[in-house]
Amino acid sequence: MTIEVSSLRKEFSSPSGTITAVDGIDFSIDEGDFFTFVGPSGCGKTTTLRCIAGLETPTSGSIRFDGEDMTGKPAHKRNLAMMFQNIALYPHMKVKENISYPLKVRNVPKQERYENAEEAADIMQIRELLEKYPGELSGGQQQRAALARTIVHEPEAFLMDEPLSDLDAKLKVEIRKEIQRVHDRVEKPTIYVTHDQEEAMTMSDRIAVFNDGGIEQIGTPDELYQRPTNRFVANFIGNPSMNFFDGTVDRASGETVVVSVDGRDVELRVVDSTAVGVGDEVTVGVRPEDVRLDRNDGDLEGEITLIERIGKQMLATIEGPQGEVRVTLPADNAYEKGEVIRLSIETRATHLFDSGSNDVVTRGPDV
Amino acid sequence: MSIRNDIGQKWSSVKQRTVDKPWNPLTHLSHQGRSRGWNLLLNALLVLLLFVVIFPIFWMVSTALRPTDMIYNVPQTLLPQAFSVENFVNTFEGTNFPTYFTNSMILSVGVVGVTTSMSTLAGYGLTRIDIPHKKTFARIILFGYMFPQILLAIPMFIFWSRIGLINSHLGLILAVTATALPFGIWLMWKFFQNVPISLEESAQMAGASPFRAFYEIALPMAKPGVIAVAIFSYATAWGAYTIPRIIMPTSENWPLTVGIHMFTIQKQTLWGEVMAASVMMVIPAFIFVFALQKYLLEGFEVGGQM
Ligand SMILES: Nc1ncnc2c1ncn2[C@@H]1O[C@H](COP(=O)(O)OP(=O)(O)OP(=O)(O)O)[C@@H](O)[C@H]1O
Ligand SMILES: [Mg+2]
Repeated sequence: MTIEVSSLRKEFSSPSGTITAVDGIDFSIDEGDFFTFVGPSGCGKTTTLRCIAGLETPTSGSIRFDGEDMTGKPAHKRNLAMMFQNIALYPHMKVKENISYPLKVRNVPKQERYENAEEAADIMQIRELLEKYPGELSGGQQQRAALARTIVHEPEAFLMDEPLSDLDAKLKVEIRKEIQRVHDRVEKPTIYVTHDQEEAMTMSDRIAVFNDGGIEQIGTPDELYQRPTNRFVANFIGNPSMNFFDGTVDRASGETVVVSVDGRDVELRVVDSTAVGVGDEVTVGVRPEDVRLDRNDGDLEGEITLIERIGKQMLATIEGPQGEVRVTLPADNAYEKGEVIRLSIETRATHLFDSGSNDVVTRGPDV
Repeated sequence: MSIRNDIGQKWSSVKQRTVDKPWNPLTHLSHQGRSRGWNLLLNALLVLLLFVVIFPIFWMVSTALRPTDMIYNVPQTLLPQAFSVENFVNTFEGTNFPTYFTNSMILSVGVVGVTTSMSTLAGYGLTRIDIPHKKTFARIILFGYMFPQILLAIPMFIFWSRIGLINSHLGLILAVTATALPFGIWLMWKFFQNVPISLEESAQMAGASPFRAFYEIALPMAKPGVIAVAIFSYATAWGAYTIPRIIMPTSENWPLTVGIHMFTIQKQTLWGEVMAASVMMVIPAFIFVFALQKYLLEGFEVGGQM
């Protein structure tokens, strides 16, 4: 099945007036796509998902499954599987009854229903919990039971609203794999909602970055990482997140742009210098791995205020006149907190944003 | 430092005191020399309370089981000197008791059925459908419940006679339902507010129609409320007096409440029959509540799990 959403708008009325939860949402999802909504809290991810599910009626815009308009088709006739943000297990039913409920609705005989529930429970590693009631399960176990319920029948698409939020890191990785395995096996589109960009980056075929009721950019994880179209996406995608320096264009010619950041000239290589003009206010974006530290040499200056470990590497935070800069370092570096240090930017790996619109204007050849 | 010590000392002295003599209103008072009197008073109150509640029931049963000719003995004994089911036989054979009993049963079944189903549907609708002026509605409902029944009964009589519902079981069921429904709706409304909508949405995503989601998910979770409304409306119907007294003028349509009362204001009060009928009237109520309380508690267990 394919899912197309166009010009979706959803308003809620509240005592204090009309709230526009989402507006101008457009995307389409192909058969077998793993499509992720990512974005900060309250940006409209759940609302969009609920419109697709049929639990909310869009104020305007259309939703099509395989080209067929879904307006007026109630949720229970859309044959989707949905995992709710708040889990939503039925407290008066045992776990096995919960998991097999979609089959019960489809009039599958009890025996077969429970066998399928056992299989699904095996995948989620909760077989020993089948006879319990949801109230007797931990948050993570409940989440796995709810996941098992979504995979027990054969839906046209999976909708998952932050299904892993209550799990510990190790279990998260495990269940992530299970979700992907199920997805690969059934080849149905999956829409996955998360506010964790790392989860989005590792699991998705394509990602829609939501912000404030709209979509900032849609693309593959690589596209979003390498070619963010605006400052919001550049900032949101990637961990540790991108550094930004505000400056003014001094010179622009050929493949070179010189930006004056806090009174110091920084020379950058870009793919298209005609996109900027002298005097333009721009924001230079550079990832922490594309900034180099040196004790003597560099365009910018600052003091190391923090060094912390992130996985294999270390992350240094440097305070300077140009603002806070994050730099990744190898674990065996010799820098210490409190040192005053010079910084240089990898000139071929920067993004240039218009300071007014925050849209990208050009970028380096090696981003 | 010194302040801290000071507090520490005070605290430890308080602690010591509490360890030595746990504070208890009764023993606490005993130190003021009022223990005996206080205890005596409390116990006397308790006995009085028990007496007020238990004694009429005891007397009812005890009188019902006496032979008819010993009921008017003076002085009377607490326990019957001889047991007899004579009063029960007389009640069945010499009075309209079977008719009254049947009428009460019809009334109760009707009222419980209508009130429970309507309260459930209304309570559900009020939580799930966006109805304007819900708050006003809630106020009116509770306000309606506060009316004395006699004030309702008289206009009802007028209405009911216009539409031909006087002396009909249906008319009585509707009238008594009207007195039980406001509280029933209000109770179910509160119950359904505690059933998360997302559970029904999840059922719909699983493929259940909205009605099925209500029936299989929301309703079982609100079961304690449904049982409570059933018990409450049963009590209302089984004990209804004012309304049937007014809108059921003919004696063969009286429920037990009115019928038994009439035993006492005939030419002579048939105390033996009154008591026997009362005993038999209490039995169905006991059975009903006993049968349902099991579900009530079971429902609370499930509800308590989440
Ligand atoms: N039923 C509703 N009534 C009124 N406003 C709503 C309703 N549902 C959502 N909103 C508003 O719409 C906006 C988007 O909400 P939504 O739940 O879609 O966010 P989200 O991206 O899922 O956030 P989160 O990551 O916190 O789950 C929010 O500002 C929210 O307050
Ligand atoms: Mg959400």
